[in-house]
Amino acid sequence: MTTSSRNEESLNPVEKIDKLIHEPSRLLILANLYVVKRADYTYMMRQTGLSMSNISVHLSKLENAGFVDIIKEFKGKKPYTMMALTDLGREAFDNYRANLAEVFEKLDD
Amino acid sequence: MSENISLKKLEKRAFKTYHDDGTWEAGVGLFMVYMALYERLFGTVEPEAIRYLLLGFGVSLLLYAPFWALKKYFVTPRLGRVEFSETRKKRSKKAIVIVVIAVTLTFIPLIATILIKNSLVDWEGYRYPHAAIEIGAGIFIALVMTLIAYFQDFDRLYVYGVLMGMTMTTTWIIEDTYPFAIAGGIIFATGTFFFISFFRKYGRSVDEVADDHI
Repeated sequence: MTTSSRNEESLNPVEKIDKLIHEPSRLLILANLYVVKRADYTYMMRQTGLSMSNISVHLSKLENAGFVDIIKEFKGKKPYTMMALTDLGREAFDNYRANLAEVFEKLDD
Repeated sequence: MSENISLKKLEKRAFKTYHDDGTWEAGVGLFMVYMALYERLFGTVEPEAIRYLLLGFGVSLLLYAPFWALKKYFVTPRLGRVEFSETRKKRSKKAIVIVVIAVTLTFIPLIATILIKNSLVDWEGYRYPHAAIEIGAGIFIALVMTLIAYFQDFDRLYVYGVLMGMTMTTTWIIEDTYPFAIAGGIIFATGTFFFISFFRKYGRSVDEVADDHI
């Protein structure tokens, strides 16, 4: 096996990594949403250390991809905006973890 | 990078955040101190109903109320709203079941006292050595608190459970409530320390920190 073909084979798992999820802030958001049913912006801000505007920007991208649902609801007269991972989002996050594990397994020493 | 993110630890950390403000402990500690001193303060007040219901139960609730309000109106808005997973909810339900069973078991001797004379708490004609009940009660309390601590992932409750168990045993043996006051003081002080830590970390309202950049 030539060096270039060996390198091509080891790069394939890297190409499967979802770049939308792989961004550090979005990865943090998705990981925190994965372990709960749903949460609001304040919770996400406290858990991730990201700013509110930062979270909004990343959430828009995740919502456009169908990974996150943004739910606006009222408790009495007070409005709340909650976020939750969709089934597609959970599946994508599981695939991302599996792909990343595969990458590390196949990396040459 | 994601290899080092333990989702289990992440979830546990998130859930623990909701216990780390110290308000529950401060409230319970103060309640214990009050109950320890209550007989000394109001032991001669008549009728008994006023003494037990109003000055005992009623004042205890009033003492705990500020901590409940602190949790609801100061702590929770700063931590944010979250609905934990079904797995977490099942664990919390198990803790509730333990509390219900423990309270039920505790009420059995109380009901026996009311219905049957010469019952467990009537020392004359008493079948078992006093020490067995005193030590048993302490172990029972420690065990119940330990189980609740496990299902609620509330690490400090392990220590409080042992402390409360020892306190119960000691209180019965020396027939004085000083151990209750000391244990309550320790728990109150710990709760206060954690609340101060919480305040230093999360004291600013959400609006103030909304656009801080990390």
